[in-house]
Amino acid sequence: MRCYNCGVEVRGRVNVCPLCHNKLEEEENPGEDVFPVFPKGRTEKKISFNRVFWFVFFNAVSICVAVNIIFETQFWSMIVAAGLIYVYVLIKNTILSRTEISKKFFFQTIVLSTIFIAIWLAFFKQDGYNMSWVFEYVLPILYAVSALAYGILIFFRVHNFNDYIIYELFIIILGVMPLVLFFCGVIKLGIPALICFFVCLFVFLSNLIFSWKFVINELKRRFHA
Amino acid sequence: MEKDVPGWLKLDNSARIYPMIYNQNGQNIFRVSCELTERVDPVILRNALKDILPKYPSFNVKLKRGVFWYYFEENRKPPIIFNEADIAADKIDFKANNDYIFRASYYNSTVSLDFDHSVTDGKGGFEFVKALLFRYFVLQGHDIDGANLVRPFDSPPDKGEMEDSFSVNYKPVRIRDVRLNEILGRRGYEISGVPFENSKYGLITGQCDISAIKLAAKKYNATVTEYLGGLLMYSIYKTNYNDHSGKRPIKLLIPINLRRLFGSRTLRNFSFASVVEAEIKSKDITLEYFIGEIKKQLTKTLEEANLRTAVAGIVKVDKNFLVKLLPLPVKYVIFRLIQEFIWKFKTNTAIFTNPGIIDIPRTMHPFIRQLNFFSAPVRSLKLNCATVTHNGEISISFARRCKETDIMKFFFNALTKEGAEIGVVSNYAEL
Repeated sequence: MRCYNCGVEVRGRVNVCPLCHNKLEEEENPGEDVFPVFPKGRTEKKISFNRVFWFVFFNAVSICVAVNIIFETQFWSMIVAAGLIYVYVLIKNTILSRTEISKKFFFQTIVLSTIFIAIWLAFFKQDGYNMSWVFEYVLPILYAVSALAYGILIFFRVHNFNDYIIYELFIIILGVMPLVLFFCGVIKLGIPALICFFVCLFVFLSNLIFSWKFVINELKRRFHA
Repeated sequence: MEKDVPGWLKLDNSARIYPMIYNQNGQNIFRVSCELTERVDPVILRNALKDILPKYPSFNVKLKRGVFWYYFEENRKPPIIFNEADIAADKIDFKANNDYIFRASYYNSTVSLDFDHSVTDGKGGFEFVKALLFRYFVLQGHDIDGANLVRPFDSPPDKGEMEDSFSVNYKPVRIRDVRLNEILGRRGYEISGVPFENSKYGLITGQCDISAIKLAAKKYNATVTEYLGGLLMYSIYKTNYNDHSGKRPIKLLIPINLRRLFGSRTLRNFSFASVVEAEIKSKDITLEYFIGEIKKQLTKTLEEANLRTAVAGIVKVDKNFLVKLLPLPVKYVIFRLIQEFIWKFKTNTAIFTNPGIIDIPRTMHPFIRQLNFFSAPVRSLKLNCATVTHNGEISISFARRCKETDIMKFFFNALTKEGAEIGVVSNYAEL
């Protein structure tokens, strides 16, 4: 098609001059389009998961806090808040997200331990509550399971296993912490902490023996300056 | 098993900041596309891409986050070929693209590759597309010859194509010799207009015989780049600048390919963005004035000493001990702040890119109708103009963020007045 106004030849199926927007006479054989015609106005979702969640979160937590204050009970509303945040992470970063499984797994471990530590922080000073179970049982078991899972995945060289290495090393460092707490006298019961330490040590040694090249290579990349 | 230790690459010196400015302004994507004479067969295209990727390791990568910098890691997933109608010049969704940082798509008889700027620049992109198409035609059963313009398929990956030429050609300079203010220039005039909704942008491509353009350029005693760049500035001045009361200069960003100057054959980034500023002092400025300004300022930038300092300046920042040791999240914040508070005041009016003539083996010519090149406009840079020449045909593409088309109308009308016979296509985003 020719636009006599602009003096140019127009190709494609739309019979409008792209420069002056005058209507052009249609041709019998207009030829193929070079670009697809742009989809007309994609609309953004008005109600997203984020909005719904934070709406529910703030309402629920403020009601709980209010009830807490009025009845002067223990500060259990913090548990509600922590639980809701965990639900958020679970849905947003584990179920809906498309990131690598290695990252999701790491994130779960970190968020879970943070939430348990938060619960401990909220209660440990109050009489009648023995909160040492967080450090005596929950965290050692969490880190041991996590380190072991990473160790197995790396040992069997599952898909993208080199991504797992950096997270695994971090978990191993965390896994030593319960034992440190035991020796500092913060917790009384040392067996889970000890088991956790040995699981981490076992995983670390198996890494060193079977996959040390991968470990060194991964560290080189991640820390290159 | 130890042999399987996957390879990785540092980002080249100029690419290091690109991943950090993703979200704010959209990605820095440019597109190299090629219109074939026949409809594209996506299956063969996919096989061709799969075949050549191991031969070009700097493209066969995914972006990973390190402690201090981003880096590339070998990507072992299969590449994906998209139908252009499904993606329509949208951002590259890395996850949906199997982590590749470039995206291949087809539409009718056009093959398009969108590259993120962290992988390569225009020239590198064209080399890759050339190799891809060569393989595509071979797989289609055509008997073609690479003629030294395409690396033979069975040759091993070339180290020279993967080198970071910035580091290789770095010679230390004193920091005060790098006149950053001069490189970045003043705050330029910003094109005004009604913006598109969402991430949409308008595209208009004009194609014509290069000889007509050359003839017109000759009249002004200028090269094609100088002439077209000048004409672009003039078009902006004539159609968009009028209602502007401020005194900001029209500022054009012109990337310069450094490969020939430094004797490099890298396929990664190796270009330098030079800035041409034209002060608007009087009311009746002519095209000659803009062409003259481009000529004067480009010649100055192209002086070897100046270019060397500029290149050294880019590397110098990365070599700085302090910059090196800042953790990535901190760097990220700092770059964001720089972008928000410094770059904002160094805005360019438009980009004009001309990688020049792309040498494609003669035996491939019968299957290729036209090459196209354009970069997606970002929020701060509302107009990008990119040209490329193949087989005596120049293609001039405008990508814009505003609905108005007067700049392009003026530009192409001026060319038709010079006797060029222009064919125009558009994605009609404004309709």
